Amino acid sequence: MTQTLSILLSVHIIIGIIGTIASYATLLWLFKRKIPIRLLKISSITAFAAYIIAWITGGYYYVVYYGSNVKPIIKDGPNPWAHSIIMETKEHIFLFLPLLAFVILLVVWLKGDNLQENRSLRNALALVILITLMISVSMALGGIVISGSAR
Amino acid sequence: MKDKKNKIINSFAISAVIAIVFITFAVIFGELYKPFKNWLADIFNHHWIGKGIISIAIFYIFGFLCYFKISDHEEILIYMLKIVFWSALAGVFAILSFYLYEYFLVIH
Repeated sequence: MTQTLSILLSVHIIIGIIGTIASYATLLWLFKRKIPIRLLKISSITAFAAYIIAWITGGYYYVVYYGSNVKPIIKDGPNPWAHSIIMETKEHIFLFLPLLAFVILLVVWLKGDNLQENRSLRNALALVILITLMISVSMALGGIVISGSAR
Repeated sequence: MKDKKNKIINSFAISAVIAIVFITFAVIFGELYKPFKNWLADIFNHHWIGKGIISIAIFYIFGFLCYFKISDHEEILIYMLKIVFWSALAGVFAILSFYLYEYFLVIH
């Protein structure tokens, strides 16, 4: 693997974790007694930006290197399911993240002032953040399984 | 007076649902009908890039177009956010179940 690709892979992992932390922070701050709107805006835009950067860096690595170099090793190894189930699911479900993060971003930035008194809106937004967080955490766990299977 | 903020969120929420449905459909249909997956690969260099670009195009085009038709009511906004949650959850389970089915039940 070239140095550029290994840097891109590292950026993908680090920025993906930052996105997960930002989504978690958004969910956590949403349920504070006094909602910190400014922090909520920062965490929601951080999560969106992180998922976009993780998409581009991971996507480049996946298209240029993974398919021709890593995938055959996993498929011929003792855990072919790591690609056939985990990677196949991960690469496609990841595509939901930027969409969900953008919807969260819009609600926080446009309706942030209404979240304190409108409990229904807050709970509905929490559901969207929750599924985003669940997908994001499963991406990280999937990545660990896949890289472990390629060794 | 129309609430533009609600309209913007509602239109992007509905376009997110449409994009999620497209991704789920494209994944499953692409595996079952290889010419579709190959077509994506031919046009976009890789089927995954194709799915990504089309889903983003759907998201922003529908998000823009729906703005002119969608309601500006806050109740609709809350309802739409719940639909976004359920469609994402259903998409996750559909894609995961499909690859489990492919791996364990389909003889290659």
